[in-house]
Amino acid sequence: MAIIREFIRRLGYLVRRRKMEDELLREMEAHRALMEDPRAFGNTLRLREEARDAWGWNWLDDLVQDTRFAWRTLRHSPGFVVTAIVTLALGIGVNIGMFTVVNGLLLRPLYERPGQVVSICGRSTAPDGGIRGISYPNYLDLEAGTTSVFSNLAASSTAFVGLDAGEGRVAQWRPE
Amino acid sequence: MPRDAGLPPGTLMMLVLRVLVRQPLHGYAIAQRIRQLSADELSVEEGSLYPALQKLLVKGWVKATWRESDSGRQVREYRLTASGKQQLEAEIGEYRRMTGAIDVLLKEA
Repeated sequence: MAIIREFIRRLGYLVRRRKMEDELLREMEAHRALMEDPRAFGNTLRLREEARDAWGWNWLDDLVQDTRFAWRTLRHSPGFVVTAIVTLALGIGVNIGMFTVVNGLLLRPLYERPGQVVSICGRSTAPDGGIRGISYPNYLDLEAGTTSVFSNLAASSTAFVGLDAGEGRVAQWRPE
Repeated sequence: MPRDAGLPPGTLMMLVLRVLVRQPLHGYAIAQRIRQLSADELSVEEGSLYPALQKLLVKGWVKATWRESDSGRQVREYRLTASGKQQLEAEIGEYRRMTGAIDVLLKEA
């Protein structure tokens, strides 16, 4: 609660800063007038600035000042501004493009629920136990017998064809 | 930032609050009172008094009002608030605890 009340008080200083600064000035002038040696008071401008520090808004003043300064400086050199903006745009754009590709292809799975996708293949009963394909009738039986297990089934087959490599056709292998 | 040669660090706010217990005072009178009561041992520079007063205002430990002084001058008087009194007691307690510990150490070590 104390912190909230303090913040509200601080906000009050921000909103009525003209009045507050004026009060600070009058107060310091009154103090100076009471002193035997008013010169001993020191630089009121600097002292006011230090006192204002307690309100906790000097960072805001600095921010506004720096922004104004940056704006003025940039207005005098439009070429630099264009170069900087184009450089930033290219840098950011290229990075976003690269990340989109990597994210789409490598980071995210290509399909939903990849843990539920399995591959089925035949295996030879010979001692070396190599992986074999499945015949189309066997695939149909598999599909009919696993409706309660798989929501979908698909099969693929591989076909080898010959390609012209420049010296006429070289047929290599053709199914059937 | 306290940079008075005459004041232990961290005690300025406590001293200011303490001299305001008896009556409200303006900035110059606060500095005078601290000097008088300490028989010129402690002195407060304006450069640290006003930041401290602003801090006390922001914290709500004192309230400031303008008043015409006896000499007809407009002065800004600081008055201790209820939470300022609590804060003063807390700071005095903390100060006594600290100096007590240092005393023990100086005697026993």
